Order: sequence, then C-alpha cells, then structure tokens
Amino acid sequence: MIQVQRLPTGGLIDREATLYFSFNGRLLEGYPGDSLASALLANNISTVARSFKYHRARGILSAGLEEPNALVSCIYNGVIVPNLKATEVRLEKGLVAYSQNCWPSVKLDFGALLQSAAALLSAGFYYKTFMWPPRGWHQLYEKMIRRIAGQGRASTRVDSRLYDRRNAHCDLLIVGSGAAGLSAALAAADSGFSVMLLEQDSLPGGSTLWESGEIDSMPASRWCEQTLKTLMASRNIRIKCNTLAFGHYDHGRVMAVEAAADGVDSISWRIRCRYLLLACGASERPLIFPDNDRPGIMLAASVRQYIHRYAVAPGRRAFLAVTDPAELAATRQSLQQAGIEIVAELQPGEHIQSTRGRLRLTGVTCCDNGGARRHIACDLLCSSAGWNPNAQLAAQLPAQTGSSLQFDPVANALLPPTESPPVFSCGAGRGLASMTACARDGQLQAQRALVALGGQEYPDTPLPEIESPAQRAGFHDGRDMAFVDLQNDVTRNDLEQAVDEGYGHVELLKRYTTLGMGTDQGKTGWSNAILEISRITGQDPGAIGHTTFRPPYSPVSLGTLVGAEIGQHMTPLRHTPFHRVFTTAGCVFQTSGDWLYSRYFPQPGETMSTAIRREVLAVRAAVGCVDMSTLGKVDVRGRDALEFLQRIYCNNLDSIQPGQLRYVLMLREDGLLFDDGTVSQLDDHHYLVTMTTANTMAVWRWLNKLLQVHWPGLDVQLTSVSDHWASLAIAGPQSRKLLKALNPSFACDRSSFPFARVRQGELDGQIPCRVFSISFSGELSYEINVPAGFASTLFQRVIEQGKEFGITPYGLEALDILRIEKGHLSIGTEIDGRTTAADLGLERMVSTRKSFIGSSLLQRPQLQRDDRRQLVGLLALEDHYPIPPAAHLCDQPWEPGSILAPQGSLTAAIDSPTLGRSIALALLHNGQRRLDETLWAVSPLTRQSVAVRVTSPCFVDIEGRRVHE
Amino acid sequence: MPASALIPGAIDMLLIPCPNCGPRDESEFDYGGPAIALPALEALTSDWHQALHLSSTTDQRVDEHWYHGAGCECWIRIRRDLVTHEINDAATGGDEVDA
Amino acid sequence: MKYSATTLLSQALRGQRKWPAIIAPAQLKQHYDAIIVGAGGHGLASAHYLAENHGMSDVLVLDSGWIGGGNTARNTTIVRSDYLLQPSFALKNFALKLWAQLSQELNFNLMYSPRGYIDLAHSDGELEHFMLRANAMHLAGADVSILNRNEIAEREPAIDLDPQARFPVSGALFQPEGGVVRHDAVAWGFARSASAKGIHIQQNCAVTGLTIKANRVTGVSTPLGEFATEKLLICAAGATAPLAELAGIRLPMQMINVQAFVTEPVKPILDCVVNYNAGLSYISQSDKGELVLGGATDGYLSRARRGSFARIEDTLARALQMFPWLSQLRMLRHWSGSADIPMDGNAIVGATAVNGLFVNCGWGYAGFKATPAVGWHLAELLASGTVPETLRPFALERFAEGALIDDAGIGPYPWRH
Repeated sequence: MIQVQRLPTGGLIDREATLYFSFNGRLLEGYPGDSLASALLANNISTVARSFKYHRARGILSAGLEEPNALVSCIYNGVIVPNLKATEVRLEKGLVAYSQNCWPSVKLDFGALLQSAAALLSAGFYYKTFMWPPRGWHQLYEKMIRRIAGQGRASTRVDSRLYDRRNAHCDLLIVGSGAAGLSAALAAADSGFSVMLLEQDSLPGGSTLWESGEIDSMPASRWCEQTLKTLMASRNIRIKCNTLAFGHYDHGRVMAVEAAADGVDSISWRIRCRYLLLACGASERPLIFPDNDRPGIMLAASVRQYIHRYAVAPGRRAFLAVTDPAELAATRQSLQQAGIEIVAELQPGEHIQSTRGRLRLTGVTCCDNGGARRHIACDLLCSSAGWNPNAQLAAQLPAQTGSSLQFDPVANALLPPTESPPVFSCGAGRGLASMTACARDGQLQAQRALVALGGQEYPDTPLPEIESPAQRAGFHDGRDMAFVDLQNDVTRNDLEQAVDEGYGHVELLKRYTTLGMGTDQGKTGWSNAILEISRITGQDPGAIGHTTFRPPYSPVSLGTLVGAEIGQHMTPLRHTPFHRVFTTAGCVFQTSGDWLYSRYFPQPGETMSTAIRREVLAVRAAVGCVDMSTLGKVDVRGRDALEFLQRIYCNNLDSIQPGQLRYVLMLREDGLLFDDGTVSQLDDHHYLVTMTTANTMAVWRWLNKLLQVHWPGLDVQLTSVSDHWASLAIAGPQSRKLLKALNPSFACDRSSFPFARVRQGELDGQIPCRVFSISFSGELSYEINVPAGFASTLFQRVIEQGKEFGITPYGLEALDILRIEKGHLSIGTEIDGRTTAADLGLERMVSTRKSFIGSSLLQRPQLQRDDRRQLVGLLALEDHYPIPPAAHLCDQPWEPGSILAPQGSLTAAIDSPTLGRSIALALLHNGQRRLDETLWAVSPLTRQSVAVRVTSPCFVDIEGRRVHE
Repeated sequence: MPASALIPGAIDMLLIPCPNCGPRDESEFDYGGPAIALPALEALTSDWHQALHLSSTTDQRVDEHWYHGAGCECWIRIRRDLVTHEINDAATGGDEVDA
Repeated sequence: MKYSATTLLSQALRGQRKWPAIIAPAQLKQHYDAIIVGAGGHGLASAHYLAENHGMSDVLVLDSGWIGGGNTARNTTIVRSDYLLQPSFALKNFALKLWAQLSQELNFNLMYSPRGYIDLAHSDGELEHFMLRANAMHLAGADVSILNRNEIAEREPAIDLDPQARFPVSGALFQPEGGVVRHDAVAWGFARSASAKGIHIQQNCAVTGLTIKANRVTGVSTPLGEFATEKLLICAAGATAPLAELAGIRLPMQMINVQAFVTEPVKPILDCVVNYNAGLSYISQSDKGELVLGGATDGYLSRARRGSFARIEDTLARALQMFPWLSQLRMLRHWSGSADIPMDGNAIVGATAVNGLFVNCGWGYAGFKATPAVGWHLAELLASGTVPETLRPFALERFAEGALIDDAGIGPYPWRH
C-alpha cells in the first residue's frame, strides 16, 4: 500500500507530481514539498536509524534541524553524503537514502548487542579500562572502537558539486520568517533601509504555515500569505529561503549558507549588517522518561507540523504527554482533524514509567503519585515539556563576562537578554508564546531597529511580556534508560554518575558524557540537561550556566565554505613578465610561494641535472641570462632619502654617489638579519632599493610604517616599482661584450661602467633601461631592467645578440648552485631569522659609526659572542665523496644508533660543476676559528657520515676579481 | 534608543574603520602589532628591550597599527578592545588617537 | 579506586553510582610547601610529578575555573616532537616517551594513539629543510623518516598528491610516534592521580593577590582566604602575565586567538595526523569519528576566545587541497582558544627576580604535546628550587640576553608565530 499514512487532503505539497525515492533499497513515494522525514512517515516507515552508542532503534523525533535520531546517508551524483537528518533533506526525484551505522540492516542490527552491555558502557567507561596491555589501546581497542564509532561513511570520491561564496551588505538583517520575523520585515517595508530576511526552510512563514493561531484577527496562514505579498512588492526587502544563518561574528558579520541556488549546489554568504534582529523561533523540549527514545515518540509540535504542513498522520493511536494546556489543546485538535485516535493523555501528577515496542512504540505505562499504574496501547506518543528559544545565534557573541543566555524561571528556559546590543531577539526566540505576541514583538523591535538606524521616530511602546508555562510533569527513577541526549545516548544515569565523579560543572559534564556534542548539537537535550543537573545537585538552574555556544548553528558543508577557490584557484599564481617567452624557450617552471619561477631550460634529450650542469658551466665560461624580476624594488625620493636609508640599513652609505650601488643588509629591530638587497643612487635625493622576493611585501610594509608612523617628519616618498620593471641578469665573462652588443646609450667599457654601478638610458635607442653591475653568481654580471612590457623583446634581443657569445638561459636551480659556489646568501637558508651579519662573515658591513634599526639590540651579549654558529664552507676530505645535503656537523663519525650532539648544520650542499666535486655551506659553532678542522657531515636519513674539512665559504674566485674583468 | 544599539563602529559598518577608505573588512589589512613608540636609534639596549619586548600590557584596550594593503596603503592606528573587539578611534599614521 | 575492567564490571553491577570523585574534597590548609596557580595540563602534571617523583604532596593547585578549562580543553590533541631547535625538541621528545606509558602510570586511559605524524613539504627546498630537522632528530635518538610521494600514498592513501595541485607535495617528514591523545583526559588523569596522593586541588578559586616580603614570595590571596607558601609556580597560560605583574614582573608575551573545528563523525577514513605547509592546516580523526582541523593563528592580538571566520575559510581551503573529498563533510562546531605567545614564539619557564616565584607560560598553541615533560621538569624545579638543565634555555632573561629560541625565525612579533 502506497503512502498509507498520507492524509487525503491538505498540506503544502503538490499532489499532482509523485516523487519516487528509495530508502534502504525500498522504492517509496512522496510529493514535492515533502521532506525525506515526512515522506517516510507517509509511507509508514518508523525505524529509520540506530543510535550512536547503544544502537537502539530510532525513528523521527522532530520536523526540523533539532532532529537527534533520524540520521541517514544520501547519494547525490554518485557521492555519498553522510549524517543528514531526514528532517532537513528535501525530497527530490530519484533520491537514494539509507540508514547508516547499522549492520546488516536498520531493523536487525548486530550493534544492538551492545545494549546487553549497556550497564558497562555508561559515561566515560573508556577512560577506566583499555589500559592493558600497554600498547593495547592503539594496536587493538582503538581500532575496534573507531569502527563502531563514527556515524555515516564518508566517500573519498571526487566531489563534482559546485560551490560559491558571495558577499552581501544590508542595514537590517532579520533571521527567521515566522510570525515575528515576517512582522518585523513588514514594519521595515519601504522604510528606505536595505533589509534581508533569511529563512532556513524552503518556504517562508515558519509555524504560521501549519499552526492554528491568529494574527491581526485572521488565521495565521492567511496573515502570512498577505504579508508575503506585501513584502514581495516592497522595494527594499530581500527574502532568501533555503538560507541558514549559521554564525554570528564580530561587527555585524553573519555567515549563512544557501542551498541549491543559481545552478550551484550551495552558496556561503558573508553578510555584513548594521542591525541584527534574530527571530529564530523556538524548538520544543521533549519529556524525559525511561525508554523515551522509541520510534513513534515525537515532539507534539512536530506532529502538528506533519499533519498540517505535510498532510501526514505520524501514527494511528496517540498518547499525549504535553505539559502546557494550550499546547495540549492544539495537539488534540490537530490529531482529531487528522483522524488519529487519542487513546489517552498524561494526567497532572502522573509520570511515564516505561514504554514498549522493539522497532516501533506499542505501548506506554504511566504511574501516578499513589503508585497506581495503567498500561496504554499506542503507536504514537506526542511529547512536550516546553519550549527552548533557538537562541544559539544570540549566544555566539557573549557579553564580556559570563554566559549570555540566562535561565529564566518564568519561561523555564534559557533566554537571550532582550536588550543586548548588538544582537536583538524577538518572538519565540526570546521566550514569547502566542502568535499574536510574537508578531507584535517583531513589529515593535523592527521599529526600534529603524529608529536606531536613523529612520523615523516611533512611540516607545513596551514589548510583550513572557508568560509562564505550566508545571512540568514529574520524572521517574526507572531502571530503564531515560535519555537526555538522544543522539549520543546520554542518559539521566550518566548525568548522575558524572556529578558523582566530580564532572558536575557544565563544561566538564559535556566533555565527560559527550552530551550535546552530536550532530544535533544538543538542541533537544541541553535545557533538559540543565534542569537535570539542577535536580541532581540542588543548584538553581540559573546558576548552572551553559557551555559556550559555537557556530555553526547547524552543520555546514566544508565545500560551501571554501567555495570555488579550490585546486589551482586557492591562491593566485603569479607569472613574471618573461613567462610567455620562456615557455617558448622550453623552460620548466616551478611554484615557489606566489610565483611560478623558471627552474631550468632543458635542451632536447637532457635530464634536469644535465641541463642545470650545462647552465652553470655556461655562466662560468661564457654568459647566461636569468630572470630576476621577482625581486622587490622601491623607488625612494626626498630630501631625507639618504638619512632614511642610513637608518634602515646597517651599512654605512655616507660615500654613495649617483650612479653607484651598494649591497646592503637590513636588520630587524632586534638586531637579527631580516633581508639583503641593494641600494642604488640614481640621482640627487633619488634612490632605488631592492629586496628579496620572499620579503618584498614585508619590507614594503615596514618601510611605509617607519615613514608614516615612526618618522613622519622625514621628507621621503616611496613608490613600489616591483612590478614595473622586468629584470634579466646577464652573467659570465662574456657579459660585458653582450651588453655592448645590445647597444646601450651609455658607455660600458671597464672604466666607464665598473662593478657596483647603475646606468640609465636606452637599448638600441628604443627600450628604456636601467642596468646594474651587481653579481649574485660571482661572475661579471649586469642586471638589465626594462619596463615590464619590454620583457619579451629584451629576452629575444639577448638571445639573438648573445648567440655569438654562447648565451645560455638559466633558471633558479643553476642560480642557486652559482651562489652556493660563491658563498652568497639566500633567504631561508643562511638568512633564517636567527643569524646576525657577523655570523655570516659580514661584520664589516655593519657600521660602527652610526645607529640604525637593530643596532641597539644587536649589542645584546648573546648576539655579540664570537663563538656563535658561523658560516663556513665544507669540502669532503676524499674529493669524490658527495657531502650529504641536510647533514649536521659532528666532531666524530656516526654509526647507526649513535647519539651525537651536532656542532653545526648545513645550509646547502651541491655537486659543484665548476669545481667538479661536492661542496657545502654550513653554520658551525665557532666556525670562523675552525678553518681546516676535520668534522663529519652526518645524515642518518641516508646513513651517511662523510669526513669534511672546514673552509672559507667562497669556493670560486675568492679574491672577487671576476666582477671587475 | 541609544546609538550603541548599532553594531559598534557601525556607522562604518565593517571591521576596521580606515580613515581614508571607510570601514573595510579585516582581510584588506595586515596587522602591525600594538602601537609601540620606537626609541631613538641610538638609545640604550635596555630601552629598546623595554620597548620591543616588554611593551605588552595586560590592558584590555590596546592601540595598534594596521596596514591597509588592499586599499590606500596607509598605516592606521586604532584602539581596539581585545575581548569585545569594539573599535574606537582611528587615525592615520603617527597621529595621536584621541583618548 | 583503581580503574580496570574488573572494577568497571563490579561498578556496573551497582548501577555505576559508586565511583568516587576524581578530586577528593579537601580541607584547605593555611600553608603549603608549594602552590601551583593553574590547574591545566601543565599545572596538574607538575602536581602529579611532585608527588610521584619527589614525594612532595603538601601542595595546593588553584584554578579560577574548572580543571583543564584553558588550552588543555581546546587544543587539537596532536602530539609530536619534530621541532628544529634543540631546546624545543628535547622537551617535546621527552614528552613522547612519557606519553607512551602515561595511561598506565596514571591509571586513566588517555588514549595515546601513536598513529604517525606526516608533515608535508611542498618543494625540494622545503623537503631539504625537513631533512635537516629529521637528521637532527635522529642524532638525538628519535625515530623519524622522510617519505617520498609513493611512500606518503602508501601510508595515507587519502591524501591528494596531484603534481598539478597549487602547491604540489614533494615529500614529507614522518614521525611514527607522533599521534593524538585525548586532551580532556590528560587534565582529569593528572588531577585524579595528584588528588589521590594527597594534593589539594581547588577549582573556582581565582588568585587575586600575591604576598611578597623582602623580595620573597610568602603566599597568595584568594576569595577563599590567604594561603602561605615559599614556592609559588604560576602556570596559567594567558593569566600568568597579570599575576606576574602583581609581582612587578613583566612578561614579554601576547595573546593571540587560535581556532579549530570538527566535522560530523564518520567511519574511519584518516589514519594518520597530516600537516600541510603552504599556509598552515593540519588534520586528524578522533576516535569518535570526527575530523579535527586547525591552522594558523588569527594573526592579531585577541583575548576574545573567538575569531574571524576568514581564518577558518583559509584553513579549510588548505585542508581541501590535501583532501578534496572533505568538501562533502560538514562542520559541526568551531571553537577558539587564547594562545599566549612570547616574543620568540617559545615558552617562558623558570625563576623570576622574586625569590620563590616561578613561571611557566608562553606555550602558545604548542603546549599540549609537551605536557608531561613540562610537568616532570617543573616538579624538579619546585622540589629542588633550581632550574633543571632542560628548562634553562626558556629563561625569561633570554630576551635581554639575545639567546632566543625562534624555531621559525620570525622575530619579536607574537602574532606571526
């Protein structure tokens, strides 16, 4: 029989279109407008899932995000999405859903055997055992527990769904479109302020859609219809359904997720608002009694929703256990309208002693104060112990001290404070009960919002008062399980045990029992838990407090939060101006930080190492060219430019003249090396400084800070020109000849253009250029800067004119080898944030005649010691032995298993093409005084222990003549 | 209704009120740390040690510097409450923030 | 009462209602041989080792809130010791040795799970740097290896090793002893053991004042009264600085917010702990099935214990680079903690200018993994009155002296560490 529990008329469903879906392999039917839960109920499916710890049979408790029991996995586009609540899944054509965490089936689950050990498995049992044998936890017990734990199964298949991230701004953000939310939006309609109304459900209206109640003297549903019409017609209100506001962050930032919109699976919205009005409604609180978890036990208001919104009768013979008279009356009315027999009701003074039914509720036993019992046969139990305002969003930004929700004895629930800028709650979300009161509250609070935003004045009307609900029913100390947290199987006994053991503070209780830590985030459990703790300890519920509410309000997909910035799009990749022309030249690139660098230029048939070797030898013997564009460049001008430079670099720049450049070091304020680079004087009061690629942004920010914040009196102007200039360095004994062949407008013979100079002009009368005679490789070398747009042209010319000199393009790998052979420094290796200039043998660059950034703290005793780790070179004693990279220096050879205290470590080790042997650079304790000493370069990873001799860190042209050729 | 009903700093609406560009999301900025007055370059090591290392206070409200890298590229100074994140006062560069 | 399968069974037969409290109620005294302010992991570990190693149980541990309520309750549970600089490495490596038998020693299952820690490198240069670290660890006797891409795939098949990724993986450092420990249990286990040995633990009792006479500590003031002692250890993470100020001591550290989050629980899918290094993001799976993720700090000063969502998005983006299929899982909860970070990113431990006043703070977000080792050595410090060798590098004086322990070479900017 199909949809046997579907009511013949009514419901916000489309009976014209039947949707087929499958649950646990069974083909079932539903309608558009159904949730998976309502469709399952319509098809009379009661057992939907098994609980986390005890694998008890569970059904559907609620109709919303607070659902703790009905967890299913669904398959979308071949991908399994686990841990969905059947109440939050919209029924779609072809939906495939199944129960999770049960085997072989949800109706017959071997996991249920755990229930026989339930007495052993109470709260925290795993802390008290599994300790023997010593490695047993990891090797044995943990494996078992991990397999049993976890709920759904995640898939490692590629997720082909599309996600996006968008931003929005508005003046007034209203979260929730029930009576209060709609009423608030209505009050703000056409007010001139931008308003957004977010609704997590697929339809706006909240409970006005299915509850009986009146607003403005008409049925709530009709009021809702009319209000929506007005809102759609207004010019300033944006209503977004299927949009869950899950987090509230500083300064009016609200995060929300919108499902299935705009061709995209889901969108994460980053919203900034000036005024936040929460109208999130309230969730019903279930009664706690033994065996309160069977399929067929449902929240009373949810039953009403299933009847009126989905036209589903969740059972045939109902037992009502509702504490509030108004709730009770409404539930009775709904059940009668649905033709469901009301077999009995829980009477004042009575409590529920137990329930029966293996896969579905079959009966209830009640007991009164006198001990008289009655047994009632039923298949549906409507449970309600009151309402909890959905105040989590309000509580995510707690006030400065203590918790922000207060237990209110009148409402018998945790309430957000009404007056607590910048967040305001209205309606059932702050404890109001009737539709009329909620609507009124929404309207008045929206008016207050408009006043605060700067709109018209409204009379100061007092807000509706919270009414006290009826007394709750008594609890019974039964032997059977009375669940407080249904999802994590936390019982009343567990709470008592936790308090016994000293975990009575709410935060300890949560962690010890795992209450509230399930995927429902304890929505139906927490307030009951606080009342339980109050009962157990005698403390006032208001004094117990609550745990910190953390976003998200309901679980949010990680994919949505990242949006489309996946794969290559996570962060932008930067190309240098030479990228295209290098690609044509067969360059192999490599990512490094933001950049895509030229790594090497293989010729046909070459491996990486042969290519690099060829490049290095070509630079030493003839001439090569390499891209230096990524270095940072800053133009420095002003009357005080030199003074500024003197303050930031440790070098003495007194003698610098126009046309000259210096290699300079910049220290951090604490005296350690920060960056190296160059200062070139272009003209009077006009300099160009360069920084390493890695530190470009950091140095730029630092220079600006010094000028804007600390030394605003200096007349200095900075312009970043890093991206304006493409820079190609030509290096090698033939480089001067090549430079001449490029036809510069300035003389470049040895006397006119010596080392450490800068010249400006044009190449070939066409291409503006600046050329710096500086060398990273140690060879005669010129860095040719041209405006970035000329990069390709420059490269082509260099290759053309360079043919006769044997021009060889080279990349980072060769550049690194060249600089290591020369003992030049690199960021991250020698300049690692822990070394001083003196450590690297550059104390002569540190001026003693002036003060500069870092000079003072550099005087600290440990930085002045002469036996610090200092830069040295290493050569293997046997010249054919390779020195292992990443080795440490020890004063004795190493054997497997030996424990040695290293005296230093390598910063670089290469097979030097120029020297034909392995060389290395290292930082060695007291290194400058240990030349010619023998040590061992030890790399246990590669089981190598190589005898080495300490040398100067410069292996090529130690007198530095080549740059003056 | 007091103006404080609005999100603090909310005339400006967003996290960091740049005096040049208006209120902007923190992702447009780089953090520069608590506002420390650098001693004179020739000051004693102990003065620099005090300024750089021991300026950290246990105050709840701190003056600090942010750099508007994705905007005007100016350094600004704000006063922020480290618990509530309320931001008051913003000025560019080395200007004194009104107490 | 001993915890064991037998006692669990016998208690089960009595409805699980006869377990004693983990902290015995204490009749607080007027004087103690030592007082520890801060009942987090470090403070409680110190108390345990004072009794266990030195027979000192005339000790009071005070906390302004509930035990382990600071960073012990908020961290991402990872333990490892792959730090470059020797002082950092030594303490954390000693901790790993202690973690291995701590559950048995405390008779409390801490769920130490040495499932292996994989630290991904994204370039040859970075990998070489990892090798340097690994070699240093080897020379100190630790078990560590470098994995190539194939070996990474074998060990953790779920990692995306696409060479076309934005920051492709070139290799990894692997520490087999690294893994996870159940963080809350650490506080509870140490507290129970200390309490069983007669140490008094008082929660919800904030220290409001220090009494110092002639530059020597003589006691503390609290709402529950004055307690006298000659040895006072302030071990309270971010709350240490205000207390130290009461003694005229300024600590060079600042508070930065760190965030972490978990997904909904799923069946076992990730066996190792994995760390991504192009921008920070690390992940592991708890025994309950939740994937636990964390990343870099928020990057600016904060004591709010909540952070900007942008940082979470950032951490997540990197996690998806490692495991693209994570996109299908849902975030269940995200939380924050306050990391107290000194000027070189490493802890401040040891004596102060006031006799008898010791501090242990500045552990930032790296304190949990070192817990037992720190407790062990602090106990030695309190028992003997002198700073043990292993703790000397962490002295407060190092900033004035220039002997910094800056693992990452970042400099005096706590928000960048």
